Amino acid sequence: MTGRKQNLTRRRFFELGGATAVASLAAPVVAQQAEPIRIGVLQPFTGGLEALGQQGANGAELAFLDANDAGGVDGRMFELIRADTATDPKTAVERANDLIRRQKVAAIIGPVTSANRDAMRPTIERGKTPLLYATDYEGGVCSRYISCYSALPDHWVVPIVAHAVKNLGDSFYLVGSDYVWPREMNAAFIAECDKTGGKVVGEEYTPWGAKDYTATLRKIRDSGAKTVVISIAGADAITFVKQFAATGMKKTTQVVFFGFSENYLAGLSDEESEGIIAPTNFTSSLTSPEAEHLKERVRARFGADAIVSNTVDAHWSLARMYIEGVRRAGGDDREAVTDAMVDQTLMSGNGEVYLRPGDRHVDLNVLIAQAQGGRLEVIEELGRIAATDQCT
Amino acid sequence: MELFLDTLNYFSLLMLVVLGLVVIFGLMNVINMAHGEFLLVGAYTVVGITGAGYSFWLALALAPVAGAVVGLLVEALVVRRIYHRFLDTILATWGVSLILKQGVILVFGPTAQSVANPLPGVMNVFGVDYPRMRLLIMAVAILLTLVLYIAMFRSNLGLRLRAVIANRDMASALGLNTRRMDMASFGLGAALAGFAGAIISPVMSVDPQMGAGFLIPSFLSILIGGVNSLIGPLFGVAAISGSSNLIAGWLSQADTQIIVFLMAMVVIRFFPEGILKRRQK
Repeated sequence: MTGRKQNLTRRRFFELGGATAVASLAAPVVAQQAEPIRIGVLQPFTGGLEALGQQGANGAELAFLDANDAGGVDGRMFELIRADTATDPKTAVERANDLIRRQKVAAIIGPVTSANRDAMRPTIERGKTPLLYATDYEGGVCSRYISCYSALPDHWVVPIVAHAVKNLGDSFYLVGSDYVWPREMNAAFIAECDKTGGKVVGEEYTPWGAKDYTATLRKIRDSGAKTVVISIAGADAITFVKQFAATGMKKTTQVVFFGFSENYLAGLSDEESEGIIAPTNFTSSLTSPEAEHLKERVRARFGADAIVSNTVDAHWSLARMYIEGVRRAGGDDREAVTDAMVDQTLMSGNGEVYLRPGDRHVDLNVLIAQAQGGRLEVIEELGRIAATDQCT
Repeated sequence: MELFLDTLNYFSLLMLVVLGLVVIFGLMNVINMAHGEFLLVGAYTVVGITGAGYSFWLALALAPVAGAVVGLLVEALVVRRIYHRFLDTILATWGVSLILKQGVILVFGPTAQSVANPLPGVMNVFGVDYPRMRLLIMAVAILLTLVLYIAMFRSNLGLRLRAVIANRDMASALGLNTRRMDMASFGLGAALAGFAGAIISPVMSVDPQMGAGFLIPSFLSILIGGVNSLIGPLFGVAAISGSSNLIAGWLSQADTQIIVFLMAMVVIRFFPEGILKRRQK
């Protein structure tokens, strides 16, 4: 050790430094032929929403790995870099910064929740890096660098109010988690009720991690509402439905549940979930050729038990839109792909969807599904719905 | 009447969780951040055993055993080394909670698990149709509180446990095996937590984050009521659950939580030793 230390003279230092500099200059030239396109998969792998994070990652990785198996785009392969938001906005920003500055990714797919996305937005726009957001949300994001494969209130609230007023009775009690998405969904719900003659008899927000909903359930029953509309996020919603079912109120009160998916079915018994109605864009009970194709691809890559949900479909479809953007742009230049990927129609797991150039949101096919015998069955297909422009 | 039952319902849920904490935090002075994860151990014992086809009641009997085993491991590996370092226990047990939580995720996955309600349906009590499972939880919570009170404050073993906690050197000089008493206390606390996690598993989501929501209200209950007793936390739990339910009667639950926590802060400010003790000069 000491011998080597003495040998490190100033001349030797410059020699080493020079060699390093030459090597780093030479490296891109050598690697240019097959330089991979780096994609950040920024999802909540811990911290509460890991189920959604895992499915989002599965959907995205399915698209990119399939593209690699088909030879990549112009011979260039996709290289996936996973990063964990820990379901925390601050961590999401740190990870996004790291992906953009250190990892030099060409795009980021993720995160989940509006709180994480909104926190990351300045970082994304400063880094001029495309963000592919594939979770339903309250609407209103208008950014050159954020493309949203998201069910908006126009997709979910408007049709479900019409469906409910016709089939479930016209008085509603709204219960949501205390953050932006439920509040905006409920605001849209109330606005839609005003138009269609529905009546909202109560609106209430519950804290994260609530364990006891008896007071809320008592108020719902006393309000006489025919339908309770849930926008509680994550596992708290399961606690709510379990306690709701135990009171026997299911006989008189219908449940509409925003964001309900295959994820929740595992946490509820068949009796507890029976009859829950939810707007969605994909359920694994679909049997169309494109749905079967997606299910088959997911199970081939991630095993027979892998959940194929709305989340998987959204991330898979949006990732493929990005890949098509790279193909159109002839490379992974961020600005060029940003311009090239919009205005495209693509077959999702549920029909053709269209990524609009104006506000970079996707026109989605909407389903109304109902939990029946532990499965999410489609009871109404509403076709492709174009939401209002999110930039106005 | 229904309001009373609803209040008693939350009271019972919280009391079950607090019982184990009374022993570990209230008596032993260990700030156990992993208490919520001891609940997880109990709840996932139920998931595992009912998933294997056995009955909920068998799982309920085994859950405290599982809780005790995990608790004793944690005590032997981590907590026994830092009994005297009050603040360090927070960090160490928080680390334990992360390990237990991730362990659960590795074994059972991150999604919520379903525990079927073993007592579905409602029953008429005092003229109100009330879910049977809730009534069972209430009865068990009250019974267990009584049993714990008798065990800790009216039995010989309880006297010895408290002697070790109150004055370790003197207890040791009098011939008590303090090491064994520490283990017994911590194991008992963890077993109570395991049992609580098991019996509440049918009425709420069983997921890796399940314990977290209990941490603040249960620690607050003990701080409000005062440590070193069982009656104190009983009052604390009654104060938290009662005010939560009353205020939630006309406000949103999210606002209710803010008010209840603010009230708790005020109480702790003016009664730092708990409402049952006089403010010390």
